[in-house]
Amino acid sequence: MSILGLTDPWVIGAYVGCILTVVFCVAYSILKGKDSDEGDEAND
Amino acid sequence: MKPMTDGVDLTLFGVMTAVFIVVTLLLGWYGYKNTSDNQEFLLGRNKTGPLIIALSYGATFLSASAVIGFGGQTAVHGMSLMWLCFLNLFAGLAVAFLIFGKRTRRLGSKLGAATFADLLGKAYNSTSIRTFTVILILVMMPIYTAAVLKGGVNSLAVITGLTDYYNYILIGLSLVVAVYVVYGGIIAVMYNDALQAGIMFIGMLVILLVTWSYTGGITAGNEAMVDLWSQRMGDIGGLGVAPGFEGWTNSPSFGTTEWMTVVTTFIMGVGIGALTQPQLVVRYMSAKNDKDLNKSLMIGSIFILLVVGAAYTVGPLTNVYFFDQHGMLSFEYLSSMGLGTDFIIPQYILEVFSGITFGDVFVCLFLLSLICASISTISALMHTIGVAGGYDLYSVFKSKKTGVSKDYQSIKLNRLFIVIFMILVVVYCYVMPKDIIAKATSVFMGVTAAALLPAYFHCLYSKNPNKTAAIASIGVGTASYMLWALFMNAGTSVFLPICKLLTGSSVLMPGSVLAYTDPLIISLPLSILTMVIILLVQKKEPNMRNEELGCKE
Repeated sequence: MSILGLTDPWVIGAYVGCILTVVFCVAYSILKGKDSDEGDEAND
Repeated sequence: MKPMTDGVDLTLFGVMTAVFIVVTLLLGWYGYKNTSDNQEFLLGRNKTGPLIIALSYGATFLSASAVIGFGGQTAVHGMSLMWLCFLNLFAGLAVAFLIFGKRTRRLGSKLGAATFADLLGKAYNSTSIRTFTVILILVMMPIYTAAVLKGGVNSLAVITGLTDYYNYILIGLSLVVAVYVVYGGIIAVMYNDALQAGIMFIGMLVILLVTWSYTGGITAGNEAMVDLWSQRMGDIGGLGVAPGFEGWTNSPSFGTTEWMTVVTTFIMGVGIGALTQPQLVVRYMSAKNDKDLNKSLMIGSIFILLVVGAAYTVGPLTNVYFFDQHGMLSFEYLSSMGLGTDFIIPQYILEVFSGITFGDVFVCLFLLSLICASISTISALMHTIGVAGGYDLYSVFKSKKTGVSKDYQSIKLNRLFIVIFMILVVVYCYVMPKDIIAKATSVFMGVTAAALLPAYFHCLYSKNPNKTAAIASIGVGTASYMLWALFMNAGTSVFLPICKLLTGSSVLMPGSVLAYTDPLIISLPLSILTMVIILLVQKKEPNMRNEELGCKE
């Protein structure tokens, strides 16, 4: 199987891992950054 | 070192640099005006938003080493180094912010800690842990800082052909950093980081797009690399790689010397080490609340993916370019010029932009990115070194002298330490060996992780942190790292050739796989194991400081 000219699953996996991590960070940021007040100064 | 080219428009570069320095100093002045006490000099809490935190974290995390040092390594070792990009994102950002960052911010705020050493010392109610962390910072960090500074200045001087002005560039850059860090404190550092991150982002994006445009697209570029490797018929002679290399689009064969070098030294050594960087830990503590840390994840992840991903993708593709233009692969071509892997990316930029519209502007933008990548890291390191001396060491010393254990604040002393150590860093630049950037980065990150990662994690997640376990873990982690680095690892033993003096051989088992195993792979498990064993043996050891504070977590 070739994806964008790459065939090594480890190399493809590295790129996929990078993209999934960014997707996770963006989603987490949007979901948790909006309404999260966990651990704010009030709790400290 | 000979100049690489005379193709850089020095007038344009001079103007862009002058504008950049003026803006940098203005941000330093902004920091100075907003720094009213020592706490603001140390942390600047409530003065920075998620955008500034994210960009500052990213720019501090990624020095010139990430772009040109490791970018050059990908040109030699191939795309398997994208796993380092993944670890930078996953461990260095997602895990760092979510597992370590939030609790660090909360614990730091609860204990009134302003630095990493302060946090560990207060969490364990231990002056010795605080002192050890300070010593580690004051001894190791100036070497790492000097490696980053020297790497940046070397590249800049060679690329621009200004090698005769090496001393002026070195002193000039050091002065600019010293001025804005000394006067503006952490606020100036973080705002400047954000500016520098923006320049790096644009610079790397342009380079990536131009590269894909040259190769005729992503797929065509990758297929050209596969063809290049097919033509070599497995011959690795003159490529700068070890047995086990399987081409730039493939990972090396498992367990081979090439695999050990790529995986243990480049990928794991640097990836894991990012978690315990004192200069990065302070970024969490400067956040107002968890919400800001959550928000900064988005910007930080996109920034790191673009900058590191672009460098590591362009690196292997330089082989296609140099083979097309000169009939030689990247390592062969640069070796023929008498230059090392650190110059593969700069040489590629100079050549690929020479024939395109606004090429001069892009080359100057890349050079400016290089300056930004260097000084964003150096400024954060100098700030960390300064406060380690002027705040942590001073507090430990005064507490001992007066018999009253508390934090002693002196903004002047912080500034004095920054100036003294900046001078020391410049001196180091003149006495350090060449081509040291990647190794010095790996050693600094490795030793801090081996020594401090288990203790740092334990204090964040334990209701009652065990001081004995932390001290033992720190001791075993440090000792095992140093022993392996000096006696077993072929790459690190060259720093201090004690093994050669004692045995006549540079390492104890030369030629074996162990000689290519990074010290962190041995020392971190030992450090963790030590902590676990002592925690199991001593179920509970009272921690007076946390009991006094009613600290639950």
